[in-house]
Amino acid sequence: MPARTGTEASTLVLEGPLTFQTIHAHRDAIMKSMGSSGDLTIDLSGVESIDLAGAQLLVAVHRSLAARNASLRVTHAERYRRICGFAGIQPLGAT
Amino acid sequence: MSPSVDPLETFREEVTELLSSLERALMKLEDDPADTGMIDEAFRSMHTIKGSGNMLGLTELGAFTHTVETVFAHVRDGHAAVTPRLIELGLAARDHIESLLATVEPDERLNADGAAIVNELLQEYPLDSGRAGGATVPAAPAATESDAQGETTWRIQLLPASSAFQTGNNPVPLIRELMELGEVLVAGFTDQVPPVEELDPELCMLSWDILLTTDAGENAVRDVFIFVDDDWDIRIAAIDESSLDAADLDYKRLGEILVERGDITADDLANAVNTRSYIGDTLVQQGFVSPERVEAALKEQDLVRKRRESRQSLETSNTIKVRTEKLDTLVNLVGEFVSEHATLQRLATQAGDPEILSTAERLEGLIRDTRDLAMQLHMVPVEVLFSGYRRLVRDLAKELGKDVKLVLEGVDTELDKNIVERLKDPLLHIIRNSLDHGLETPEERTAAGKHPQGTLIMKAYYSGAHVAMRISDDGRGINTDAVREKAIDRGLISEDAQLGEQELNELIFAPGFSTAKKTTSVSGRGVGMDVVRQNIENLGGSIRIESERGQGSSMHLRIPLTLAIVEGLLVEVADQAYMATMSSVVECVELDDSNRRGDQKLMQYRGKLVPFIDLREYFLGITENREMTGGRRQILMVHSEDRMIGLVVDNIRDTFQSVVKTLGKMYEGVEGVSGAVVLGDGRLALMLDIDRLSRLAAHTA
Repeated sequence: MPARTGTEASTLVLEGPLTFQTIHAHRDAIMKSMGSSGDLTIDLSGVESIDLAGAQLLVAVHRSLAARNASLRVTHAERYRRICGFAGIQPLGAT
Repeated sequence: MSPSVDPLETFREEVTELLSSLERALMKLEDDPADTGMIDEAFRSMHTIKGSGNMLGLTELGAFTHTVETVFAHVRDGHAAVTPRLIELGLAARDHIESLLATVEPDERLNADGAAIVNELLQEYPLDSGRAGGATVPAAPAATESDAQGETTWRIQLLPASSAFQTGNNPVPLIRELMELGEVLVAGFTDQVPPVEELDPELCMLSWDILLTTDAGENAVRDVFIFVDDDWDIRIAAIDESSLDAADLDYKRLGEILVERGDITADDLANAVNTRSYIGDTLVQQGFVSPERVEAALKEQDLVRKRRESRQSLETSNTIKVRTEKLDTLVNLVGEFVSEHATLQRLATQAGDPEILSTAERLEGLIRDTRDLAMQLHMVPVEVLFSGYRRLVRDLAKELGKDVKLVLEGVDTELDKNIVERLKDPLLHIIRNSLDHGLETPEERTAAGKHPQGTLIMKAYYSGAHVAMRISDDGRGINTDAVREKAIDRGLISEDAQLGEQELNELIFAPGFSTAKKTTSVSGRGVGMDVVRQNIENLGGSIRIESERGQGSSMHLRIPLTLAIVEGLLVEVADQAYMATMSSVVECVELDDSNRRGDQKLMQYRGKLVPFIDLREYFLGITENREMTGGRRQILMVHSEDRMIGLVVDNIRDTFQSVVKTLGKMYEGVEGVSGAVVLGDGRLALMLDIDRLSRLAAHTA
């Protein structure tokens, strides 16, 4: 799955659909960039669709980072916000 | 007689009312941005406009209102705060809806105006942002809130099987289906989602509480989940029904809701309650429940309470709408009734038949009741009139660089709707004057040791058969020196005229008087206070001013409760009948030399000197000739405002109720009469204009 680490170590640009079908690949990519300590920015500009599984993943990432006093920022988060808004969930980390 | 009903016309009327309630809500929000009830009201007004507009195929209006409404829903749901900009744009949107309403086919300019408002609104409130914790999605336009009959609010607790994502039975389409049934409040819970390290991303760890208000019935709600696997945990419970007693507004307490939903146990609750602090916080702190579940329970509590409140107001306002023309016709008919009855009464008296007489008397009682009822139907609270000026005061103050607070008092006082209509312009003029000439700029006020914000008070209260109104400001008051100068300039008074403060103040009512140094767009419209006084007197009312330099001015108005029917006392002067309104009559006394004071038009009345007018002399130019009336004439003591005068008449006849007709051109320029009534025998009686006469008497005495 096309997921790559951005130029800055703390920014991860996700690409392709962030959905149930691709969820494992995205999770692995995110876990990898979470290896180092510190805050994480996930850029969704390359994500063309997102479903509840994708939203749940981002919430879980937020939870993990919060547990180690780091924060998650999700940029280009329109789709993330939309699905969360629809499902009545807080789009954690969305900026 | 019944006007044909054009749906568009009905819609326009409806929208006009909704627009004024929208404006009222916005103005109140400006005063108190935290007033959620007003946000709700603004939203509801727009929602109803949108719904009806769509039904009539007014797509521009529907689309525009939809966007504005969505922003307000966003604010109402607590996703954003009320800002001055929102009020500004809300008012602009209100005006735009009004313009859209006035045209059949909106032109490009109008559409561009609408687009500009929408753009600004969306910039101020980007709808996608911060939409957290629960989203209210308005129901389809056809289902308006007003139809609360048979509606039930359901709490649907949705705990999908962890395999939900795999089986494709995604909750999203289910939520969408619920939305089609009615109004939905969705709260999603993520508290079971573990940190990502422990997460199997294919498993669904989310759960939902959905509040659905619908009239579709339980089966329709359950049918939504018919294809869902058995291992989902779905609980559906009715939490509010429209058949419930609406008086019982109190919904369950937060703790009870949480226990009922299974979020906490009764024991948890008991423990938390012991700590005596805010129950929701305590439960979260002690780890019994996640904040989002408390939030959802609070929302449920709020939703049910609001629904019950709106249902209650629906039930208490069990009203129908009637076109004012119909009411006018009714009032006129009752008026005619009264006149006809007077004839009947006279004929019955002539015939001397006791049966006819008693029938006529019973009929009189019935007519009186009918009249009172018809009058009541025609009364509206002055709030309708007063609150219309909120916007004016706000906009004018802004334009003039002033800070003005408008205070309304006694808004429940009721007046005849026709009178309210005819008071609009005079009051508008008075308010403009106050803002333009009376109230100072914040700098001037501070320099004068006053609060920078000026206050304009509009107050109404009952005073006998009248409604008294006071419009007062705490501005600079009338500059009587300037008034005097101007009056001399205009030739209204001579240079050596000795006038008291009050008389100088009264000069502003003189025809063609204006103290403005320059004409502004605000008060310089070529209409003076003389026209205001004229208009109010035409209503049978009166106006006077009180002013104190540096302290402010007050306009005191006295307005009759109703125009349609008056009760008066009939008098005769040289075989012509006149009528004085009952409310102005104090007493009837006999005229004799002992109470006259020389040649002056003054008489002794209860130890005071009171001016009087001999109506025979006044109307006919006949100097009193005692021989003509056998030497005994009567004086009608009447009062107007705070003045008392005597009216010398030949005879005092009877009381009489009737519809007052306006006088034709023949009587134009005749001072002292304001209308006419038709008597039972077909003769005409002229209505005495007591205010006019008393001013006249005060001057000539």
